[in-house]
Amino acid sequence: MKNEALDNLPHSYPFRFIDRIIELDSKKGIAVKNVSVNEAFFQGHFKEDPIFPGVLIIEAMAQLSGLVMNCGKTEKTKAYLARVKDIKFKTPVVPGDQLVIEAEIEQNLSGIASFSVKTRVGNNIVAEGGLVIATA
Amino acid sequence: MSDIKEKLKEMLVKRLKLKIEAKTIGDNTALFGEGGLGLDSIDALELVVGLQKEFNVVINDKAVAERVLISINTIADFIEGAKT
Repeated sequence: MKNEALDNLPHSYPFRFIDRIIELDSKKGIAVKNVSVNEAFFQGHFKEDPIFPGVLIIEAMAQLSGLVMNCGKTEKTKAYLARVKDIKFKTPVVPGDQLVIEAEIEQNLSGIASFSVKTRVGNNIVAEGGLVIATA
Repeated sequence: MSDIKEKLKEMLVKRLKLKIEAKTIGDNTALFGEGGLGLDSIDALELVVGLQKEFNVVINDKAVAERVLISINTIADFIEGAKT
């Protein structure tokens, strides 16, 4: 069931930022992304000081939000990132960290929804804010 | 009622980061489309969130949103109607 949920993610290598779905329904999702030092962008971000790019944390939260949006639908729609709202990054993410990503629908107007999103490493919140996902 | 309308206009300007003054919005000004405020569907969603948080009225349905989110007057009527 849970692996099937991940099969619904249209993103593939090298742009899949979810490794495993922990929980998923049509309102909320929880997923995991393991950050490996082998990932190509660490060659430049940054050479001597690898930091997982904040925009990719947003991408991971957006990918999970898209899965929540399509959860339980027989006809899958494309989910587009429509808005990034006040995302705050609190602590740098480094190789070896495990991101636990959460996305919960705040408001859904059939086809367009705002999400409250956050990402934790252990007990620390590393990023939080809001996203809007539109389907077409 | 006019209190609600003033509050609505201020909420609109603040939440949607409109670059106009609240008092310049007419009670019957169209919120969407040309000739009005030119809001889009992403603004509509933000507006629905704002109405819930600041006016305690819930819009969960697209059809209701299309009926209510027309002008300041139509939103104010909806808020008044929800009270009774």
